[in-house]
Amino acid sequence: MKKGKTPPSVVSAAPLAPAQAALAAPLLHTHLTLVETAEPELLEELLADRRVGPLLVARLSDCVAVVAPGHAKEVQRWLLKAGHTPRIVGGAA
Amino acid sequence: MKEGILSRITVYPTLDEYERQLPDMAGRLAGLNADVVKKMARVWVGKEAYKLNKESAIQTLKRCFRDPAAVRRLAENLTGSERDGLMLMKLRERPVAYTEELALELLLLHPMPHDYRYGYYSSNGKHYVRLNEMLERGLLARCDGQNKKLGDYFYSSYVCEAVGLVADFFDVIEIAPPPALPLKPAPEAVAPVTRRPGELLLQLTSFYQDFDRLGRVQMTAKGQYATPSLNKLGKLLGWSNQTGQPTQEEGLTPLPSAVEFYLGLFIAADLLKVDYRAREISINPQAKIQATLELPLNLQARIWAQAYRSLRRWREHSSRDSYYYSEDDGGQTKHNALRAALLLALGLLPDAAAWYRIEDLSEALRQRVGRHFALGYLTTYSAPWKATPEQDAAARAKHEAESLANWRKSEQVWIERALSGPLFHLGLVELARAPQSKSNTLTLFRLTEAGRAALRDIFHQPAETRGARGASQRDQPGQTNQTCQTCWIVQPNFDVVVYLDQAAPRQLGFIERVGVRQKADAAIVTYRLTRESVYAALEAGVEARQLLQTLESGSQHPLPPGVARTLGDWAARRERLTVRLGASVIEFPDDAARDAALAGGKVKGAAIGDRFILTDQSEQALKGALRLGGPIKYEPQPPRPLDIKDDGEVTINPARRDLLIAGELAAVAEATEDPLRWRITCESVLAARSRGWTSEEIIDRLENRATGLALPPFLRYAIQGWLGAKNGPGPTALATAPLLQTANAEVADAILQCGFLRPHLLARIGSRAVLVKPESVKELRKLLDKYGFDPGKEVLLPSQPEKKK
Repeated sequence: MKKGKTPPSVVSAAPLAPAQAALAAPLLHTHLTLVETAEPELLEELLADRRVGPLLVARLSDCVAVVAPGHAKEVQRWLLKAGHTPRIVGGAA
Repeated sequence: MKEGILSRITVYPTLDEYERQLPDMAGRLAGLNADVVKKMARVWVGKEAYKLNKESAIQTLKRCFRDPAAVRRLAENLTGSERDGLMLMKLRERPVAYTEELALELLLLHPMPHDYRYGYYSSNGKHYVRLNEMLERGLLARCDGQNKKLGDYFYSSYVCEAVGLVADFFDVIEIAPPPALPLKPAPEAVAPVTRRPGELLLQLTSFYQDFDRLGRVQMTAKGQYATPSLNKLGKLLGWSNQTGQPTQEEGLTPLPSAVEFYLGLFIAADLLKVDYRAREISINPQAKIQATLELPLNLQARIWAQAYRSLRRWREHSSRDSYYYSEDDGGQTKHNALRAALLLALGLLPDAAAWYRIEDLSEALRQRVGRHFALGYLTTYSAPWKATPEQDAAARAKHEAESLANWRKSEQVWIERALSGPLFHLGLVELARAPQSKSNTLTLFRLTEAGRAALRDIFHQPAETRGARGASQRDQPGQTNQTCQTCWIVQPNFDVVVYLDQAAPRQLGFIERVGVRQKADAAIVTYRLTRESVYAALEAGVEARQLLQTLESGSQHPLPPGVARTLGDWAARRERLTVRLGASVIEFPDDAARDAALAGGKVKGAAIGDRFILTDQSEQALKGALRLGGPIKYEPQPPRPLDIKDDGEVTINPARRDLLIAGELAAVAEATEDPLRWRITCESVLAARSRGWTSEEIIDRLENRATGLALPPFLRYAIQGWLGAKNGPGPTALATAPLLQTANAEVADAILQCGFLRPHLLARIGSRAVLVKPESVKELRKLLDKYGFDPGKEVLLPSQPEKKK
């Protein structure tokens, strides 16, 4: 992701809440990377971030978003670089 | 034993692996010569063995190997060197031992008489004599499966790496201290230099913690440590000794290439393991390293002494002629042999608490092993042809003088370096100057308490406290230094000053994990608590409460309030954000279905949002509880539900729809009224760019999810063109220009070569067409008409191939 190209006003949170599909049965999604925050504001802040935001591709709740497949390490790196100290749970991804 | 060659690395198994693959001696007997088998059987059953045929002798041996009574009977009739050989194996607590080490230890305990009559032997394998006796008698077997004598290889560095016992002798062999070496104590020592236990613990603990931070060390194709990895580890440790210059220790007790030394030491102690296939060294998951580092120092000393003996890829001193033996492949070398002899000799000092001259120790070693062993090529005596007794005596004296000089130049220097380097740094010996000495050179040594425990007390411990294998100190993590006292001061600026003499190994391990080492000397180390170091410690499994409690309990004063508060804040901040890797989420049609599944206990997990449950349950367990669709797996390759057309129209295959696809598309495409249809447009791509995306990232993300694996080339060029990428479509032109077509290429050639026609032409396109200047159309038509070319006005389309009837 290139840095410093656009003013913050243009930045928008790309991810959408997944559309409620007409599911016949519950679906199991595995090998996901989730970002969970203690407060919704923090997740909003991350979604609005020009570097991390585009990598969060689905929002499951006010405090939980899903990272684009293949970008877990990138998200961890950016979070640390941005001064966050995320708790890393699991490691099978 | 050279097991196999991966790439160019020769694989050297560890003793554990040798032990697992200990050759089945009973099974190999059939391959031996009848005389050899009978000779072996004689050891077990006496002269009767010679009356047996080969098959009977084999059966007898097989029975004896398994019969404790036969083993006991044999043990009563062993020679002194055989008994000591088995005792040395028992001291190792393993039925296998490295050949080089055991051979020289045996030679030290039972030196060969020096007989000048055998003037022309020049084998470097003479020092295997005692070990060969045991092999010949069938008490030991070579682990490489061969039957030849050891040391019969001239000009070859290959030596069978390990030997193993054929039967369990450990219960019948007593450990008894061998006779002491004839050494005279030094009356007085001046300015002794001692390695403090805290220093040693700090070195070992910091090495482990920093290796853990680095994760792994790479190896070269030849099996050596890769320099970039060593440099990284050295940088983490704060040791910049890759040039071989010691920086962290004083000049009197140098430990050259300290990173390589500790790396080799940890490998030899089985705390790190070498993965030859991946060419890397990593932490041995079976090893309890922290527990090992928390053992009482006297117990640790045994582990480190044994590890030092078998250390590879590091040497104390490069001796003369050392080129003779290649050590590039990391196997056992003569350095291991000399280490084994030196460690055994240290255990045989007459007075455990007395000071001795290094030179005297060296001479004692020379007398016992030096006539048959050298680190380089062994110079041997050869009597002059037809010499008179006087000439022979003079030649012998000359040879003796040369031999002594060579030993002093090579092996004695090696011994001095071993004592002042690894043995001092591992806290096994302390060093001092002789009272009359004018130089600062440390010429005296004595065993430390840890040295006595590791090298001398092993012979004096009651036999019943030692087992063959299970008594390994590493298997007893309970024996740790449990007493932790106050040993540091936490300062308001987040510096932690640690007093090494008071710090327990566990406390050192803790502070190494949570702080960043700033400076260290013999007594005090200063660490700094930083947000990053505390975060790394929390991530490594230290709990927030434990962090504060341990800091508090080790501190000589209450924690400064600011420090305690900030540490709490850092820990709490980490709790605000979680990245969950490899998570499983169940998606329900609606909240009612989700809540019902949770309430009915069908699924265990946490509700997320309206329709999701985060669960740790396996797919199998869930399928037993729910009528489950999926599963949809997102790593390493997510599903490919997208059908992408040339015009940018994207359709999501409803049968392969997944949780993330809409969100991923939203970043680069425009939504339509139909949730399954999206459109990639110039605007959507420009919007993605405004969020920092490049054309390659957009294309990669789409291709990662496209059914067809690759994006339609036209759309790829379009995206690159919209974003002005360098690899875009480039210029195109759509113009109306007069075209002159011909029936074949030869006619087109003729027109182009015509001098008066050429000024009217623009360029040739294809073999049978030429572009004409618009203003020359009339003139050109006239000229072509005049010369019989009869230009028509209709475009000549390529003729259709005739269909076969």
